[in-house]
Order: sequence, then structure tokens, then C-alpha cells
Amino acid sequence: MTSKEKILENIKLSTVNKNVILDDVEYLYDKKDLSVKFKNALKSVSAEFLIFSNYDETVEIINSYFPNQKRCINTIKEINISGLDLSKINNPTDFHPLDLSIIKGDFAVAENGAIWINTGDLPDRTIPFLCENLIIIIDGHNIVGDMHEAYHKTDGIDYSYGTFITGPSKTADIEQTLVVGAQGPRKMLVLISENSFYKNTNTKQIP
Amino acid sequence: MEVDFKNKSRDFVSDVQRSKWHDTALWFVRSKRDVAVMNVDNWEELRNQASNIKEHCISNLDKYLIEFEANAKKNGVYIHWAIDGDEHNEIVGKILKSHNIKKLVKSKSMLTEECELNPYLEKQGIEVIDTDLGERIIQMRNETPSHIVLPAIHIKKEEVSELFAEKWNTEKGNNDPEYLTYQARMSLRKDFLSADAALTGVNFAIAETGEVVVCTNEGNADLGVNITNLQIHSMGLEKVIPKRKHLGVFTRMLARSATGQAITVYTSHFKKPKLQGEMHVIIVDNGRSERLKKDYFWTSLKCIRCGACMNTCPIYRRSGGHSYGYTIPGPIGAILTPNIDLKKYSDLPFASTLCGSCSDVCPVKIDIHNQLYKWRQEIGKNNVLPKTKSVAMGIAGKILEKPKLFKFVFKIGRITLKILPDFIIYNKWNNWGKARTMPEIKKRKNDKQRKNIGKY
Ligand code: SF4
Repeated sequence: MTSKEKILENIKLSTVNKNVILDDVEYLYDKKDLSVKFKNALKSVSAEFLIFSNYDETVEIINSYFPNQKRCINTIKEINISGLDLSKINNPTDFHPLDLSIIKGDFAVAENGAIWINTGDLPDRTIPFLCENLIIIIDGHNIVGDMHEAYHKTDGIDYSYGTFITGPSKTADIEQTLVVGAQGPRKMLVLISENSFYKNTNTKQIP
Repeated sequence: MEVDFKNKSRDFVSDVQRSKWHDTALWFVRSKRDVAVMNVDNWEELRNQASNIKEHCISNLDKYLIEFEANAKKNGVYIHWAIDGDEHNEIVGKILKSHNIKKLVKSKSMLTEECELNPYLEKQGIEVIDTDLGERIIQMRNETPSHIVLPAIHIKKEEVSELFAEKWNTEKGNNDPEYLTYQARMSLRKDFLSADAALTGVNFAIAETGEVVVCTNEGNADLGVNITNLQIHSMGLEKVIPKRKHLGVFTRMLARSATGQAITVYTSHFKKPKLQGEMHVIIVDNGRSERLKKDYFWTSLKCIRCGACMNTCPIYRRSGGHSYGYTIPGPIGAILTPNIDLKKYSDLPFASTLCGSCSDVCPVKIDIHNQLYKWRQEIGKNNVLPKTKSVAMGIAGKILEKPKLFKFVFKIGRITLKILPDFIIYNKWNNWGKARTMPEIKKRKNDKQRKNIGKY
């Protein structure tokens, strides 16, 4: 008998008389003041945010916010900021040190400030984690109320690796003192677009 | 050797300042949890759902594990099954060996602590680096975690500073947590960049899609897994949940219960390996399917390891996690351990006031305090009562059998507590008098109230 067979056999013996039926729950999604709630949530997780209306503006914002970022990876072609030439790099360790990464977020969650990143689709999976500073650009119209809706929105999407990112990395492991900037990014800026510019979002539209 | 909770906790309590700090720090975390929970409209409803999903899943574990395995395989993931900790370690060792791995970065995983993976791998000549800051501190001090979410909660910043100065040559006497965290970041960066495999724990595994979900704050799990080409995820078999949509319930509850955050900084869904990468998931039993057999106690398998029951527990807060002598301390540890070895851990179910606060905060509604009470009965029935308890309980049993005698003893107690000097209460035969003051004797309540007490 393999370990798998032994384990499954033991479970079968154990679960007799224990059949709890799974309740079917319908969720009422929160639709009120999502933008305000999202911004408040960002503040509470030490993320900064700015609103913008067109891409040219973002270049200005980024340059003034993070001046002298020598080593940068920009994954958004509409933003005219040049960075490391990824085609010349074949190992993520070559990115290091990485000052700034600019990536797209698919949508955001109002209740907690989380942003869904289809990380598997990035040129390299380390991009949002290895950098000192992270910029995530999102469509301000693409905000859901809570995590129930967030999972509904990403249901059936074929990703290889997806992450909800909620602010810069943190730890309180030394005497419960919150320190922003643990192993991942030490600063995070969310750029929120006033206009709906992601025409072909990768996610399901909520009716 | 039996775990001697009272003596171990005495060591902890005797450092008055530290134990006071520990108590206050954890109560602060508990208070943050309360605020976070109050911000959710339907928290109690969420608890019901979480409990229902877990109970359903655990009572159909074979079905969901098979479904999980099939879907994960479709995603190109290798699945392994380990009957116990030894087999788990052997599997990890084999995978690493077949890739000629010299250095492994690990993110927090209580399961690998349970299996004692680190010493096993180190014996094989593989360097293991724990990358969660708290875990790293503990690893460098050759200790075990004292809390499942805040592993280094028992250590003071001055001690961290000393440790880093000794090992990494950092500035002596600089106790600033921000400075110390940055030094650890710099050191761990080198480890990430030079590692060739990563191992993480698993918070949830989804049967429907075959993905595993890992929740962290520091970014260490994602860094490790993505920098290296070989990723291994170790999961206890109770981590599987039926559908992706159920993550909505658990991701809303886990961090709120654990630290008072609305969600962890990273909630990562690992589904397929990266191009040219390899992804392995090890499903570990290590006594869990045995636990499932126990009629009353099986619901302890619902635990999502949030740590809320520890933060709220008046005994845990004042005794420190190491007093429990097991990887998982606190109220949940005290109901898990008797399953493993009733005699060895017979002290732990008594390390409780049965106040019920643990059950109140538990997001998956495990009735922890009732289980503690039932374990006490099991321990009595099996004659493995800790010595100090068996003598006292024998006498108490006799007294409680006879209402008249009880009344008499109660009366004497009231009088003696009033007049006895402290040295009688705080002597070496009365373990619970240590670091505790006796209650003030209040004026008598009316008889009706007293009668009601007996009804519970
Ligand atoms: S028993 Fe409940 S409160 Fe305690 S760690 Fe587990 S889930 Fe959290």
C-alpha cells in the first residue's frame, strides 16, 4: 500500500457518520462609495496613491515621485519610461538591485485595499517583489467591494500565478513595532486612472 | 518526558518585566483584532460559513484531496503524499537531491517545524535559511517559535540587536526595530539571490483548481519561490477547501483574526510552475487522519492557524509559548497535543481558566474551551493526571460529591483566605499561587445566585 492509499483509507474509516452538508451562500456585493473606501484602505496599509487622467501625466508623476531611479522595470508600454532591457536578462537575479517596478493591476478591492496582479503574465514573476519601490497602475472604475466579489471576478480566469498585493511589505516581528519594508518593496504608489482605459481587461465584468 | 507546564511557565513569569511586556503586547494584538472584526458587518455570519465549509470539507476529505491532486496534476504540479513527518522530510530531501540543491530558502511553515525538517536537511549538507524575520531570528538563536503567527514574540529588541551585532557585525547597541529589520533585509537578500530552491507552507489548497494559496506580509514567500526554479509547498491534509469562492470567506477572516489587518500584504495563488520551473506539493498526514476518527475532538482540524486564541488567552499571555513544549502552543496547542500523546501533554488542558475567550475569537468556531474540559476528563479516565492535580482532585472529588461537606469547606475557605498570610498561598506546593494573587473575598452574594452557579 502506498502512503496515499493508507491515508485515504484511514480518512474513509474516520469520516463515517460525519457528513456535514455544505451551505450554499449568496453574497450581496457592496456597491457604495467603493472609491472612497479603497483609498481609505490604501492609507491604512501605508500605500500612497495619486489620481491621473492621461498617461503623459504619469511620466511626470513618476519622475517627480521617484527621481533618479537608475534601475527600473516598466511593464506598461503606454508609459514612456525606459528601463532595463529584459530581453538581455535571463535570470531574475540579474535584476538586482532593482530600484523601481511599474506594473498593471487588474482590479482593486475596496474593503482592504488589495490589488489583483496576474503575476504569471509579467515578463518575470519576481518583478513586483524584488524592487525597492513598486508602482501599480489601476483603472479607478475597476474596484469591487469585498473579497467575495473579488473571487467571483477572477473565477474561471486562467492564471498560472496570481497575487493580491496590499501595500508595501511589512513586518512587526521585532517587539511588535510595525516596520514598513520587510523583504519586498519598501514603498508602494498606486496610480489610479480617472478614465476607464483598460478596454480589454483580463477579468470578467460584473453585471 | 512529560511537559511540565507549571515549572516552565514559572521561568517565564519570574522575569517580571518580560512577562508583563508579553502580556501587554499580545493583548494589544487582540485589541486590534477586535477593531478589525467590528468593521465587518456580518462577522458572525462569516464565522458560521467558515465553520461550515471546514466541517464539510473535513468530513469529505478523501474526495477533496483526490480532486485537488487531479487538478494540480493537470496544472503540471507534482503531488506527493507523506504519512508522517519522517516521510515528508525524506520526500523534500529526495526532491532537493535530484536537483543537486545546496541552499533552500524557507518561508514560514508550522508544518515543517512540526516535522523538524531543518535539522534533517542540515544533516544532509543542505543549507536552510528561514526567511520570515521572526523565524530567522529564532533560527539564529537555535530556538523554536513561541507563537504560530508571531514566532519571536518572546524576544526583546535588545536581544535581537545583540544577536545581529554578533552574527552580522551590525552596530552595537542600536535597538531600533527599523534599523534591525533593514539589516535583516540586506542579509536575507543575499540568501534569496544565492538559493536554488524555495519551500513554503500552505494556508489553503483549492480542490476545484489545484492551486495553493500562501498568505504573508513580508514578501519572503514570493521572493523565494520566484527567484528559484524549484518550488515546494508543504501542506497538512486539512488545508484543502472545496472551491475558489470559499477563499472569499477565509481571506476576509484570517488576517483580521491574526493581527487585525484587513488582509495580509500578499495573498498568493500558486497554480502552475514557471516556465522551466518545477512545482511540488507535499500532502502530509502526520496523525491528522487519526485525529479525524475522534468523535468529539475532530473539529480541532478546522483550525486555520490564525493565533487569535493565543493572543486572547490569559494563561498563554502570561506563560509564553515555550511553556507548552510543542510547536503549536496556546489553547489550540492544548487541544491538539493530547491527540499526539495523552500522558506527555496531560498538563496542557489544565493550563486554562476555561474562560471561553478562545472559543469566542476563533474564526472557524472551534469550541476550544469545551474541548479543554473534555480532555481533562479523558486524562482523568485514563489515569494520566499530572501528579499535583491527581492528589488535589482526589480530595476535591470527595468534597464535591457531598453538598454538605462542600458548603462547610467553602465556608472555611472564605474565612481562611481572609486571615491567612501570603506565604501559605504562595508556597512551593501551590503551583497556581506562583505569580498570582488570590482574589479578594467579596461580600456574600445571595443564596439564589450561588445556587445558579451549580447549574453550569
Ligand atoms: S483554534 Fe481558532 S483561534 Fe486558534 S489558531 Fe486555530 S483558527 Fe485561530
